[in-house]
Amino acid sequence: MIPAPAFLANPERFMAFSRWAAPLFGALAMGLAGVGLYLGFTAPEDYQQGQTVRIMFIHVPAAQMAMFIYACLGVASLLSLIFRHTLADAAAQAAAPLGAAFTFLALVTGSLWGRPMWGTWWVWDPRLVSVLVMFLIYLAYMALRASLDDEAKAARAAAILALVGLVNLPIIHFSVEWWNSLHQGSSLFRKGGPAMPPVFLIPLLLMSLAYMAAFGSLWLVRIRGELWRRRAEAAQLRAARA
Amino acid sequence: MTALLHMKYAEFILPAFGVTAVVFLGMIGFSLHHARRWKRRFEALSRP
Repeated sequence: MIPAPAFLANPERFMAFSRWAAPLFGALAMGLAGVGLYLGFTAPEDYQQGQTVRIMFIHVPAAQMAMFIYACLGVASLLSLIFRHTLADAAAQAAAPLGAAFTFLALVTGSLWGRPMWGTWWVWDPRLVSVLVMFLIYLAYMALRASLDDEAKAARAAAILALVGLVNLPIIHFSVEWWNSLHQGSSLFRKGGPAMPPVFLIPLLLMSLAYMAAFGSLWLVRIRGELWRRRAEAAQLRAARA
Repeated sequence: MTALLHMKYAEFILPAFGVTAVVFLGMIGFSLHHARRWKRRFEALSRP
């Protein structure tokens, strides 16, 4: 039995797998999001947040995905640095724009929730600042890759940047415990179980799964695109030499 | 629909969902366009 990462490390096997897995994950994401949104909009108002609790169903999954994608970027970068594997580098390159988009969503939806609840669009709070730093690292990663003509050098430099940026993940997670923060603590992953009733918990979990499936689908599509690009450029080079 | 537009804090809730929808559409559009574009390019270059 070959472990899943090793099985998919072969580009041909990956292409065969992603051909059916990407649309499957996409359909799964749409189904889960449909049910999650329905339950989210039919849930009662929260006694403290009122109607703004509905923003949580898109804000929390976006923030979770922003961090999860960064962890994927870090692992792919590490594998790319150690094994110089094309697929690992393509996976890292494909994850960065998606991670930046989810982080942007977490920041914007958080701001739109914060204005009515906290009375401000933005506050220099440890959680908010550490997520903003992650967004800037995503942008720096993409800028670094785009700025060097030598793709191998760009991949190596960007992978090192991604690994350095991994330090930020525990800072984001524990920022609400380490410092005095306006941002509430973890309501899902905490001792004693989630701190919310099922009427909010179920749509939130469905939306989290929908975001995860959407990322899975988009990541596979982007890795496929990246592999096609590399193959096209190699074919162009071969044609030029012939 | 009218209930959505008139709910309390609709001016914050609807833009949050709107921005999310736009970003998702962008991610889907760009990802599919990128993949299809390079697949076509590779296939064109591979033709004898």
